[in-house]
Amino acid sequence: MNSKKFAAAMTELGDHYYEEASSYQVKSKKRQWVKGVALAACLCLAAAVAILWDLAKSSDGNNQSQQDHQLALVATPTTAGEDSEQVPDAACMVSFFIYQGRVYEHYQWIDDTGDIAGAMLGSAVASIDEYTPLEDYKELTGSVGGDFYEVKGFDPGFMLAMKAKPGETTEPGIAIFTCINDIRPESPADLLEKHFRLSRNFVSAEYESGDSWYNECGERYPLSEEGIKVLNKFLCQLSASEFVSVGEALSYGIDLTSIMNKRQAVLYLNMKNGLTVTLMLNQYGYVNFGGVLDLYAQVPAADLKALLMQFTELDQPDQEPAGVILPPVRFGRTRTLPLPVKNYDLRTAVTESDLVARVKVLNWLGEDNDNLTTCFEAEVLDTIKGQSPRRITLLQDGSSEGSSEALFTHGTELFVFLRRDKHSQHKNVYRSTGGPTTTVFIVKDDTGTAYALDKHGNLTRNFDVELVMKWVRPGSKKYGELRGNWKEQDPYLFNETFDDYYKHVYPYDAFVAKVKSVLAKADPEATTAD
Amino acid sequence: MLTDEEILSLFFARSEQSIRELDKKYGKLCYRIAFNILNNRQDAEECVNDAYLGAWNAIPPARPDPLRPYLCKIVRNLSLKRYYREKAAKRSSVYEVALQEIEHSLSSPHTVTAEVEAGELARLIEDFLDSLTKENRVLFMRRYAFSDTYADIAQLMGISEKNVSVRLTRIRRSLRAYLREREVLA
Repeated sequence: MNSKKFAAAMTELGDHYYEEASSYQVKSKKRQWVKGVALAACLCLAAAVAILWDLAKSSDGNNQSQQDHQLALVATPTTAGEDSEQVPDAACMVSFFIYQGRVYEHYQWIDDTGDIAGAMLGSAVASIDEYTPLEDYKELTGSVGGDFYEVKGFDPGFMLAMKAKPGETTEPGIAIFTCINDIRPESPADLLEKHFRLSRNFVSAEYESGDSWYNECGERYPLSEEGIKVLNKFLCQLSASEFVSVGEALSYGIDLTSIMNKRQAVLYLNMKNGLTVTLMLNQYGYVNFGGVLDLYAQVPAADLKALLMQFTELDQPDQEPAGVILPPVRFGRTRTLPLPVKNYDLRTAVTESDLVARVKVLNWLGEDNDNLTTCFEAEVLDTIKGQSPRRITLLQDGSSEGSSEALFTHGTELFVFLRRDKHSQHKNVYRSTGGPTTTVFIVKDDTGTAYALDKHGNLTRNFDVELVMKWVRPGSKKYGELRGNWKEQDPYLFNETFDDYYKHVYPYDAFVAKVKSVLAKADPEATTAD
Repeated sequence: MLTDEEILSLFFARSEQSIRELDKKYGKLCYRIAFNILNNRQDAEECVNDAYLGAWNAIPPARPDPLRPYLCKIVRNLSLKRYYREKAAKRSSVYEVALQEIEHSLSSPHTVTAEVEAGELARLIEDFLDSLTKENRVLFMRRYAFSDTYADIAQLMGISEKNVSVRLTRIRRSLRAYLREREVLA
């Protein structure tokens, strides 16, 4: 059987299967529902009177809890009727309970060595399933029930445990729960040290490929001694970093959730008591703390890469040639506004530039965080105006402290209008005449033909009719192709506002011909060299 | 928004408003199906427009009830035709990825009845779908009929992407076993 036949068969399925799938609406979305729980719990906190009333009212519920000490990390059965067939699915519901207004969500199973659980703090009743109305999310209720305990050495405001009775569950030992609504670690260091106490409990580290994790293959490998050293450096960088705001990243067109789908590896930091801190690693330097809130951090890509190199069994799909130095970040920590620059058109950009050329960005050379500039080595591929060595130093506005747009990286190809500049450590330094407004990106179609992408449109706005005829019209097939390639080529330089900004895409040859004609008119004596 | 019955009445009255109403009600869904397969905005829009034209030509005399799956199938058919004809989809197309998943599960060098007809296979898949829970059935359909991404399915169903992945893996495995039992696969 081939996929084509399968596809044909799928089209021939009865209408009701399509109808069912297209009209499907989840009765209670798990994630949102958990947030709903969090909200409900917060409301409970704010309305203590209501809680007390609830508790008083449900005193018989406490009796029930005495009979309900079993730990069932599956959802309680749904009521009979049409939903009864969904019991196996409901079992996928997240396990949680509410204690002191906090929502504790299941984090991990660990073996019960006898010295993990501390004092018993209370009992939760497994009275909530996915169809339970929000008003019934009360103190000491949850989707799981049983006695819960503090975890020795850990803040009960963050972590609690439930014991499994022999034979009652398929999973052994103790279930660890972490609070999801009433903690907000200030930094990765805060989360790792204050909450998880990682450094004093760390025992070993393992890694797993993103694919293995995604398909639940469980192919974990221990990190070597050398790997642990690299891990230490990585964790230092991680501890020194700050959480990345999902909203702020989105404002740059970076969808962290989507980016983390391209996870390259999962790192397990095992601790003495059996607890594990799970870090999801992305090749761009993003780190997500698996199972704990929705937190992201970003470390220098070089450090992450050094760590990933230790995972010898893993594929390295985007491995760069040896010696390549990538910028530590693609976006600065804060967003800066570009300095108001003259509104250059093509003529003024050409006449006021010392060097007009197509260049390829190479190694990251360093950054000046005081002046928010980054230095890149660049190779001059094609010179239209001026003369320069084949290798120059290209200054870009923005650094890891702050940037207005994504920083370049090794391999970025640009058509640039440059002025000579100076730098204390580098020679042959050039900076863009009009900053990002005169920086033209080179994007290639499926055949490798280059196109000039004038993001801000200043240079190509007043093109003559002849050239406009060659314009790659937004919405055209070619435009869609270039758009897709550009996004794939560099998701950082591309952003989701592509269609708002990148309306000025021309065949590279046509664009260069225009630049040359403008140069010939503006400065007939100008030196040109191909 | 008009009911399906009201839209059909407009079709029968040969009112072009029927297309506008159809687009208003089901345009987004149709576009998504087409785009998931073709990974190209313009092609997807053209397919959806072609589907509307197909509906315009078919209704009347046809009176599809329900209307939504009827339209979904037209869009899917047209998109698949274009996909195969032009090879327009990139490797990153959601459809292609979904196709690879299922191909991996179902392809076998030792297929004994490789010439099973699509219609016959459809009936077998229907039987298999009937054995699933509603959620798993929807999950399967959203992935392999609508070519939704894991992220879209996760959002729709209120579960994690990983959960989507794991469930689909299990469903594919079950489907493979099911087809083996019926000697469609060796």
